[in-house]
Amino acid sequence: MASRTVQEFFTPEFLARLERLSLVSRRPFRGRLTGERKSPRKGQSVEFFDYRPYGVGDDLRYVDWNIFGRLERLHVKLFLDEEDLRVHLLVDASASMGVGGKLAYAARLAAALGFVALVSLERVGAVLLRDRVAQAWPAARGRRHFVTLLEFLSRARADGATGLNRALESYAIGSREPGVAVVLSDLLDPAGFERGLRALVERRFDVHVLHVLAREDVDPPFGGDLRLRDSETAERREVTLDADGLQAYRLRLQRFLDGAERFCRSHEIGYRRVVSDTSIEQFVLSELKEVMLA
Amino acid sequence: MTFLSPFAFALLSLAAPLLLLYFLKVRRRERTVSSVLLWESTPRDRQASTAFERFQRDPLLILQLLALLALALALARPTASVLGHGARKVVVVLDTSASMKATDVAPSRFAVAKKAARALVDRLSLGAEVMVIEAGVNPRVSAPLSRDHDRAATALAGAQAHDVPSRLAEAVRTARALTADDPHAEIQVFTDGTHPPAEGDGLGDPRIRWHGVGRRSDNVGITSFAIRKDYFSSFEYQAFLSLVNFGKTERSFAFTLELDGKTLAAKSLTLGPDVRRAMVVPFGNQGGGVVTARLDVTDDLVADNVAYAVLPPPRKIAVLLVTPGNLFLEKELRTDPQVSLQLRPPDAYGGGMEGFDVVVLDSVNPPRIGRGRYVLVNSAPGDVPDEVIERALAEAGATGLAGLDTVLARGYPGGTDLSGGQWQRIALARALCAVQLGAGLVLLDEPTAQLDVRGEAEIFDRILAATRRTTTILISHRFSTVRHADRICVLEHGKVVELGTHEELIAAGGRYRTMFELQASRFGDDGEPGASLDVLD
Repeated sequence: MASRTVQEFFTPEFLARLERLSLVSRRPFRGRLTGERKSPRKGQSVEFFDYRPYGVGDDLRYVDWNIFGRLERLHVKLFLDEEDLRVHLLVDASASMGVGGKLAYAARLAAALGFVALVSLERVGAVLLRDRVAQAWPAARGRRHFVTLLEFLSRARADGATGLNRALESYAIGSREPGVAVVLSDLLDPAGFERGLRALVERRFDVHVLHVLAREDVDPPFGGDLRLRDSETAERREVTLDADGLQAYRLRLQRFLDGAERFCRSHEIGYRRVVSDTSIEQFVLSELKEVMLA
Repeated sequence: MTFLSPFAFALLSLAAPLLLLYFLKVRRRERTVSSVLLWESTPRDRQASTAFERFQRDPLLILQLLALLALALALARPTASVLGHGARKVVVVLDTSASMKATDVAPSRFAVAKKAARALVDRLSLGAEVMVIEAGVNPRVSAPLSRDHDRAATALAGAQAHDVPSRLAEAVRTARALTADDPHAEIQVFTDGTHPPAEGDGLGDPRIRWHGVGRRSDNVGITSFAIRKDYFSSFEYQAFLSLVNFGKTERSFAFTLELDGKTLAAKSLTLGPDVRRAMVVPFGNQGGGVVTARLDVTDDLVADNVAYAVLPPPRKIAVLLVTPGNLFLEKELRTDPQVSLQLRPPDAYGGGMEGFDVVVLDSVNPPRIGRGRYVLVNSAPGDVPDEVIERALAEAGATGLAGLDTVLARGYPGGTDLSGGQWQRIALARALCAVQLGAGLVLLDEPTAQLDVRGEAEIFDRILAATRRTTTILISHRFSTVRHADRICVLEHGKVVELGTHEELIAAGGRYRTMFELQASRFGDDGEPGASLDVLD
């Protein structure tokens, strides 16, 4: 059952290629510096990072006696700990993600990233966001958890209203271990998404946004006199969609996309846009490889 | 006000469906989209509130209702009956002929007539109907019968006199036809009366009122002008003119005839009252041009004091002379200024007209000449086999008169001349030859006049045999010749008197029979030769 689920999602070749990748964090996380906090993973290789004047209470073992011999001052060595990375997969599961198969696509994308992280022994957690954090898959490490992650993600149903700001804020505050946060969403929230993303950044998450769009969001396949129903708010809007209307829609869409991208760039948030009919393999292996995966 | 077709108001019921249509809303398909964030309502969509409010906001509906109302009203044909005077109908007939240009009344007769007609139209009461007819070569209704006096006035103002004769009677007839027998109609004719209509044209109609313009008729004019070529010389012309003094006094004036500004003749003339004079002015000219005849006279009508005629440039006659060399012929042709001569040696000439007007063949025997205008000098068509000629000569009884190459004129070396009878035989031989070669029509005008009676009968039988398949027109006084014809036409004083076969005409016992018997008695029934006399001379 489990392996069948895996095969439904990914081909073995794709998994094999994913296995050779690992997530890249663009920043070392505070609190991982050696000596500041007790590491749960002692005995791992340690990389020299910097010196710092000795302060009372510092571990004498880390005092660099060569420096003391030369300068007659006490300095302690600072090390960059190769601590495992905490990976947060934040999947928007609001009703709008159900339009055009965006949620299914986002779930597969999240699973692929989760697989990469699990294989490289990162701690991976996943949550579904609606107007708040709706469901969570507790953080775990190791390849064997991939099947349960997959099951969790494949069970996700698009339903309910979005409250990206609130959901992300509460997640940022509630998370004790900041790390790499990948937000998979269409960002279509009447209240906006900026506050939520900012909250993650403020909590020192390394935030990536994978902006998932459906083909019909980009090229509406309909025309004429229409009553459009919002998938989340059930709000109706009557439009007459002709060439001009379509043009206007495209313009607004482009403004929205540009705004989202500009916001992300200015907040050091990784931004990638993907239309849900793109092949996952291609997107992960070519586009994400440059920014998140190595 | 009444309505002629009140049923048209039923159209107004269309307003109900029209209003209903406005209650209808666009039926929209419903689509679910991710978010309506990116969609804006189209501004032309209106939110329905109360019906009244909606109509208020919709000028289109108001306009449509108004249009419907207007349509229904128009179709209902509203009429208003107004008490008025009996409709007075006035037809203004305006003479536009050349004589109306005369200036005996200032500024001209036509202007005066127009002014008078205009005054008449202006005097009419509002209810009166006016029509304007211009009487030129053809009567023209320039303003139809209507109460629109402005239109009639415009038509009058726009009328112009032309250099044409007037057919006033026709215009009056048109006016009468258009007014039918309406006793209220008036036909007002404005004319100078130079072309008075005849009495038979219904001019006794009491509805016609005549308005004469012009005081006197003081006019000298050229009434005809023509140029003719002289018969004897190509470059001599004659100008024919008729001059008439229409006035009541004697007039003296200068007459000039010019060709392209060059004076051909100048004369001082005096014409008595009502005198017509014809003139012939000969002149010579080598090219084309415009001939202008001019009377230097001050009278009321200027238009007829000048006349023009155009001389077409004369065309030269293109003559091709095909000769091995004939100085006299060439000189002769060159002296004629109308001839443009081209010389050609016989071997360069291939037959045919080659686009020339006349081809002169001198001592040339072309293989074939075909149809055209040829002058053959010392030539014979070369395409006739000798035996055909020999046979034709034998049939015409002309064998042995001369060799085939002998020139039948004394002036040529070895030439000889023939007697009248011999010539006639040669001519017959030529005709027979032509028949032999395919000629379809033979015209024989007294073919045997100079032959003796015995020879005639013999030859005539041969001719008949030879021309059996062609149409032969035979002209003869001799009844013995004539009787063989299939159809005999007796002419007397240029008129056909009798027509038929010999037997029919004898049986008819008319002119033919009388003459036949008279002539036959001379020769005797047995055909004994006597004097070959023409009975009818």
